[in-house]
Amino acid sequence: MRAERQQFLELSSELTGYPPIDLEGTGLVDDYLALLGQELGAPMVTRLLDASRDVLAHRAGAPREEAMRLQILCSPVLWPVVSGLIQLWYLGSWTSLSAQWYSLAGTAIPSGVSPGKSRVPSAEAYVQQLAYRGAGAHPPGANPTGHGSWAIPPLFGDVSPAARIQRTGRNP
Amino acid sequence: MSDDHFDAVIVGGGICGALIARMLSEAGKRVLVLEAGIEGARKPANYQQYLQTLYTEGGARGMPNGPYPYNAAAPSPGMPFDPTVPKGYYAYDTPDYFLSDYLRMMGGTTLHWQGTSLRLVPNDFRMQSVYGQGIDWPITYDDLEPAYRRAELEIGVAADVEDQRIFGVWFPEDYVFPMHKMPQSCVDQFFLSALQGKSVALAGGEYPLGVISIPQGRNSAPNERYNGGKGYEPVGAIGDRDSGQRCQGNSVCMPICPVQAKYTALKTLQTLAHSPRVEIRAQCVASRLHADPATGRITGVEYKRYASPQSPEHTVHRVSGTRVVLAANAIENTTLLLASQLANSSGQLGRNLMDHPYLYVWGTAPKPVYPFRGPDTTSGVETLRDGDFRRVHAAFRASLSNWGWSGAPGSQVAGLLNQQQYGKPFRDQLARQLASMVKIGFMFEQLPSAENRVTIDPARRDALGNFRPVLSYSYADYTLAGVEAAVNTVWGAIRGYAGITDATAYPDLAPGGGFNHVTFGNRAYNVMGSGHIVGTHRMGRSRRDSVIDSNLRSWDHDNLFVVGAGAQVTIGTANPTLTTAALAVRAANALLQDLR
Repeated sequence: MRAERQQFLELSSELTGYPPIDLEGTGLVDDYLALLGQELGAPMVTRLLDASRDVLAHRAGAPREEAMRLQILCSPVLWPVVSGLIQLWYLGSWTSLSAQWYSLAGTAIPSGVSPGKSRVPSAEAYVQQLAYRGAGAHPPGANPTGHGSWAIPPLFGDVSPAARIQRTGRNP
Repeated sequence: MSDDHFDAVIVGGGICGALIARMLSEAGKRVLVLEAGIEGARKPANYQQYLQTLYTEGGARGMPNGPYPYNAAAPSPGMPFDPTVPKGYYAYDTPDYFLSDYLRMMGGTTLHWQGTSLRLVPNDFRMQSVYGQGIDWPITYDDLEPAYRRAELEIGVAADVEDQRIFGVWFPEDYVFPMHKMPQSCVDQFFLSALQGKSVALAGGEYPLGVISIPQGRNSAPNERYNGGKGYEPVGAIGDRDSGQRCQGNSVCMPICPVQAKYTALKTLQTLAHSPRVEIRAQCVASRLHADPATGRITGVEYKRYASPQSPEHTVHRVSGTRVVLAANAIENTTLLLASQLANSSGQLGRNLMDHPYLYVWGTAPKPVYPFRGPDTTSGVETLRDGDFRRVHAAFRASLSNWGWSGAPGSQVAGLLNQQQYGKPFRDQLARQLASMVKIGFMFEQLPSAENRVTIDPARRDALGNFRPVLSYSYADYTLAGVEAAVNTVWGAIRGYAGITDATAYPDLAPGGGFNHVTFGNRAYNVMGSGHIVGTHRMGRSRRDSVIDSNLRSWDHDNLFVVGAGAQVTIGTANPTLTTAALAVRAANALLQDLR
């Protein structure tokens, strides 16, 4: 169970580009793993995590990218799952896989799942969505940046001047 | 039927009803407010619930009424009713849709207004005399100026007087706004620097592209010089004064400010909560006014009280007021009067329906401008709101959006996933795309037209048997020529000066897209609504061509006042709430004179 969680976290990190500690910080790792279980069924989750274990065993960079391409991106079964997982982390919304996917994967559509339908699994999923973070912004209505903060460039994120100072180690 | 009597019966618990109730009750008058919708957001627990709804269902429910509960007994446009047409509570007699909503709930549409609190400019009041277009108001800017100040106090406007002195807009010498102007965003600063000293040619004239801060009905730093040095105390959230003392940049003014830093009419209603002279009744839908056929005086207001928003069950009641004030918004005021067959000797009731047709243009800035932070808009290109070109085409504002492109970041995430991007490259590309997004909302004036109108039809009613609004609506060439000038000439000039790469596209989608797909000249445009519903019961100098006089009193019924944006004669380019509130102040002063 613990190993499965760790594997899911590492896969999520590889897919989102955010380090595991940032994903842990959302508090949603367990929720999202459970959601995958409900939506895909346990055997498919195991298949995904097994594939990701193989992929992540490759050295970072070209070898791992190639493994990712062959084992996941090119898989008509695994890519839709992974694509949905990236969307879940970035937008806080899950789109149930299509009826076609279930048939292709040989998995019965679990009860309570409406194929193709999108939903926000929880208010917390909305609040913790990653999409705005890199731009130094925040989801509308949550995690506000403080009065007047919008008048200066963001102090966090991937495109803020502050981040550039850290990277170059000197003031512009 | 029960019967009770008040100095004034006010229909509508939005900004105008609340403000008039406040002014009358503070002068010792007994007032009843009848609100068609539920008490709703007035209860802090409900307000929190609506924010949760935004989080979990916001994307699915549509804007701007999305977070608020559907009410079958008092429906609002933009909520489920008839899903086959946009804003299905409306019925249509024309192919063009009217795409602006209002909210029938305590506090009214201020729950999801943007907060923009611009004054009209003096020429907006005299369009016929100056430009030969539209008609003149029975009052001038000078007449309304004191009422504007009272409205700015009520709303708590954050603005800079010097920035607002354009096109003859004037203020008393020592005037300052209650609060300092909202800090201008990084997006604003990008445009300020790119457009400094730049201009554009329109209809034979050259006009500056002036980027100016926008007055806002949301809490900023109070100005200690306000009110002769007495200062101003910001009004926080209902039930939690410490919350909402400053706008903290939740970036969601529409549809709901989480901390209530934005003004809503709930704040005005809150001042009446403990007044022994004011009674506020929710879930009471005024359905008919009764008049004495001999004198014309309104003798009673009939309303339907329902126990549950889910059920059509209701009881019918009747109250009377020495004065009756309709403050139910431009469209509901009209349907109520049409249903009562009153106040229409001019034949103008329901006509001259106007909105600000609204178009987005968008593109990518050559460097990060850091949107998705702060209030929706903190500055605009405000120097095209008046000028000689108004002889030929509509004036317009260009509101600089702080919230990036519509549909972002969802569309960008989908786009990157389509390319099978993931990991750090995904993260970096998304961040760069979002950080460089610019979007401008162009907002155009419409001229009053007898054919743009609200009517009723006995066959089209809601669950309580009240009349639904039946709308006829279209855009005149005057407005569309303004659209053409803005999207082609002005946006072209701005792009050139600022080095923006255009991404604007107006695909022809189904009406569910939330816009009218309109062709003009050699190009098609997707035109949206602004939620600025204006002009259905206009004021005027003569009872022959207007519904109310310059004090918003019905020409036909001397104890009836019809207030709200429906009173406006022209729409100009100012978002109407501030002017609407100023007109309500004017009506309240007349009411107080009557009731003395």
